[in-house]
Amino acid sequence: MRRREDAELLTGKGRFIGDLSRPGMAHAVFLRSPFPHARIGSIDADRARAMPGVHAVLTGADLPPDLGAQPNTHLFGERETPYYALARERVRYAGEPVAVIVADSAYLAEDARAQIVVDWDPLPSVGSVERALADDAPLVYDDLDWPDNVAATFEQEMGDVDRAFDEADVVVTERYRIQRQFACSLETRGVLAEWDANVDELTLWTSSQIVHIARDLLAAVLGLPEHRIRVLVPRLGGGFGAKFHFYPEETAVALAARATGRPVRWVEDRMESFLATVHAREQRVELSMAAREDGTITAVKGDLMGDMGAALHTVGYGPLWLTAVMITNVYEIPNARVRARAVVTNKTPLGSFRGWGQPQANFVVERTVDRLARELGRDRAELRRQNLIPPERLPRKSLHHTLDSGDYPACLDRAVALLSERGWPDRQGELRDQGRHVGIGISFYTENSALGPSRMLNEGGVQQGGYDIARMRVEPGGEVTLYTGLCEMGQGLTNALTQVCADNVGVHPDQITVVTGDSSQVPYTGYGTGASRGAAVGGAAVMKASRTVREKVLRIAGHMLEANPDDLEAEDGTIFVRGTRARSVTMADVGRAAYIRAIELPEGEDPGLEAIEAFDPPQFAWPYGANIAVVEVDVETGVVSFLDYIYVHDCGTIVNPTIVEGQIQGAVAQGIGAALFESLPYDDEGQPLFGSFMEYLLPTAAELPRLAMEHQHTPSPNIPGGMKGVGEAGTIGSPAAVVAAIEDALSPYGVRINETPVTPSAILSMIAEREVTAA
Amino acid sequence: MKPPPFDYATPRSVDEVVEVLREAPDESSLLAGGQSLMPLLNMRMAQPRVVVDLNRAEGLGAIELTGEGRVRIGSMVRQRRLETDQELRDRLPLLTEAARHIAHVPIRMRGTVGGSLAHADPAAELPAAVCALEGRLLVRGTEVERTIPAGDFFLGALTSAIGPGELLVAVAIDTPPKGTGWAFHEVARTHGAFALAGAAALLHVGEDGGIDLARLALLGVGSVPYVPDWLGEMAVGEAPDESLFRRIGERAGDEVAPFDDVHASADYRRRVAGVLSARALAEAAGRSNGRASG
Repeated sequence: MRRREDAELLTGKGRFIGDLSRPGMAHAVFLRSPFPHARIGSIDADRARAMPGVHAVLTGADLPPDLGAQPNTHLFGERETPYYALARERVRYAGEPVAVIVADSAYLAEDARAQIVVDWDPLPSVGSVERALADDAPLVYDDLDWPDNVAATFEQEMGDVDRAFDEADVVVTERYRIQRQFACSLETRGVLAEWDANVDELTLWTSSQIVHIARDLLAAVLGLPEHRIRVLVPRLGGGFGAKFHFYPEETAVALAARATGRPVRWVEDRMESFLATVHAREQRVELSMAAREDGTITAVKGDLMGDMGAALHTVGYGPLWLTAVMITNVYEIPNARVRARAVVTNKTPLGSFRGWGQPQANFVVERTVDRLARELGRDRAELRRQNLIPPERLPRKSLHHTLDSGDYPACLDRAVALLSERGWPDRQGELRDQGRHVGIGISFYTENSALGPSRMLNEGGVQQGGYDIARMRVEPGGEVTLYTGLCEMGQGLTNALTQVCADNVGVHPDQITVVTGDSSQVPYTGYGTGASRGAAVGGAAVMKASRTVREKVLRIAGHMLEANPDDLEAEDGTIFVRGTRARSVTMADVGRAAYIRAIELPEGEDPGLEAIEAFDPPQFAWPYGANIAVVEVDVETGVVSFLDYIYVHDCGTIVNPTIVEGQIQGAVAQGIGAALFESLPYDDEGQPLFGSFMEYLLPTAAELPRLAMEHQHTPSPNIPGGMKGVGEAGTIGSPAAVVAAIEDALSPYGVRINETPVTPSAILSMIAEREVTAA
Repeated sequence: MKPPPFDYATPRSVDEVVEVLREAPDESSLLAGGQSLMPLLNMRMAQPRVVVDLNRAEGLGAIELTGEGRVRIGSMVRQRRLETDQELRDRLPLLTEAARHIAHVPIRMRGTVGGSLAHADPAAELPAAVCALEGRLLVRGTEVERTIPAGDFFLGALTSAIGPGELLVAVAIDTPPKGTGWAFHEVARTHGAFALAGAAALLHVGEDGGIDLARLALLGVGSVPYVPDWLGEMAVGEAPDESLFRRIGERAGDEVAPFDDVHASADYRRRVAGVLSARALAEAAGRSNGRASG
């Protein structure tokens, strides 16, 4: 099935926050901190407030005294890092909101912003984990009497790691640096708030992936009952996890609407988005691997430092935690130990981005396996194959999770076979003989999808469920309305849910309308739209609700047709006796009976044709796959170009192949962005060295390879329908494969690449260093 | 990202533009394709009192080809036309090749030749190409029209020889001798991003097999395009071989004074400028004497 929204979106008819308008609406802009760390003295906004067209200027001092701090729902045992809708008394990162200015237009609001005078008292600050952990480091939370800059330390161990390292034939240790990146969606964020003072009700349009969670968190911060707030999410131009967060601007714009008595809209501009939207990824990792001479990996230990920025945002240090617990990847490694320190710095808070902590875990593990292969003189694919968990030993518990199902070796074998079928590595040899630098890189990933079992989340400290609830209704005319708490953000989720619904209730997809993004209409979803759970958890809930309605449809139709419901089939809106379409009724006939002509219902059947069903997965679902990148490096300029890219994976049952392929292509693009292009560098004090797309480079179509993609299908044993998530998968294994390919291409120089992004400039200096060493 | 208030003027002729500029010579910004000025306005990094829109001024949008091989390109000619105008491509393929490296097609549809030259971004393609072509920039002021050789036009990063109250009207370029080879090489981190370094080259090999014309201009390696004044001495009369080009590249790399930024070190730019110089000269040599065209 083709994506149904494409005509609307491609012809510019999609309505996003920036397209919405309300009568009397005013526009907000934010004044943000220019300093990484500073005490706020007085703020003189008198001139700004007096300007024509300006309705209000709110600062931290104007916030209600009982306003709550912005909440964190992922509580893993950490120091609190309170921050508010607007900074109170001090700022801890450049870009932190300090005042909101409301005026008749964004132009006037920016004019007024330029007139505000803040008496700043800059404080010492830290711009990196290394600096934050130094003995004499300035403290990010000196005012809260923190002894150091560590918000939390997480440790976990399985097996006997020390013994395994003592008994190992080979030990390799590497240090890795993974840069800051962020979701950088095509649509920036935005909020439109309208406060009805008569009934004290707030309507909030927001670019969010978490309809009910945003509502609940806002209710908690404002001290309002949840049902006094209606959250609406219009079309989203991408989310990628950054819109999974609940932001200070959502609270501030709501307060601005209350203060001015007008609807107030704020649309994040592109430049502020680089500082105001959560960043992601940044870690320093030291990883050690122990192995026997025969290549069996016996233990792994990791020491992780996450640069969390100035506060633990909505998901706490969740991504860092996920990196830590996935440190054995897909391998049968019995002994593992991790320590992860969540370090605060004077930088934009870290948060979610497609893949969460998994790309980092994959990068450090896969690169270290490569190192081990070199140490042992083994083929990289073969060494992986030897250590993959074989299918007969699945499910298998790793540090925290239980990997569920699949055939990892078969997937890797197919990818390697495809590499040969496409002429590599013979061509690599030929090209090398011509003096060209061609490299092949391999990685294998799994993805933590279908999040997640509510009980497991709650036990771990997450203050959110992991279930999803779907409501579906056959209308009197036979059409179907499907309500989901998940959000359509361009990924095509509503298409997948439509297909699941159509198949399970027996109507044509064109008969289904999906309602999303309205907390007053759609059912509650435990976790929101993220963690690759839409098709798997949301799909399973839709399947359950659709089947419940179908049973009733068949009972009513059976009564109308004087047939046993068990002998009936429903397809494309027609219900007929199996084998003879002559005896049939339509969904409209059944709908009319259910709502209008109750006289046609079977004795004792309630009117109405609607069901609401919840699904809470008993376990996560674990898709997996192999990435093989083939690149060429121009050793005179350091420019990397792709010659080929192979992607073989298994995400269980595929609902819509086009969407799955699009998800993977897009996610691999972001992984390539991580490997080669995207970075948010700061100086030692926490001053950003970026500010626009001049510094933050996203890959374009011209930089990206066309994927040679193949699917394998192992249905998830834990999800009705067998779906596994797929949305994040492409980001996970791609950085390791691309960097491995570059390293392989540069093998004549013997460079080791443990840091991303790998820029042309970095490549030339690595080559130069090796040449100096060799000389 | 909204500009502060400004006045907006829409003169209909070059004379009217000059008239408007006379009123506020130091507080006016000229709007051509808007690909640099609009972001600067939106970021409030430029806060002119008057924005003078050149888009309705007649007489700035033509490409004129004269009999004796001279080309005059009006300052409001869109960059995209450098790629699509067949006659221009035949006469000045280096300009076409340079234009292809400017950002993306939609930007080239709006961006103008004059806008890019007047903006004088050290990483821009057209300034280097016009330097290699030894173009002359025609600047109109209140009283007089001045002709400024490209080598004297670029004074610093984002600074040209256009004075207050003046506007760039056109660039005039003499078609290089028949059979001159050309090449434009650049390295940017992504397609359409600002160049880390680049080289524009022209080279003609005489009938005796020796080089009789060699020109080179580098971009991205300093505050203005770098044009080696020693190139003729080093190259003319020599055979066009790789080792010569490599030596030229190495010398060029040694002499430029590039800067560090988040994308690349100064040392990288220096090295790659040399590599691209050698490559561009070699490719231009290969195209010389009509061995390849178009």
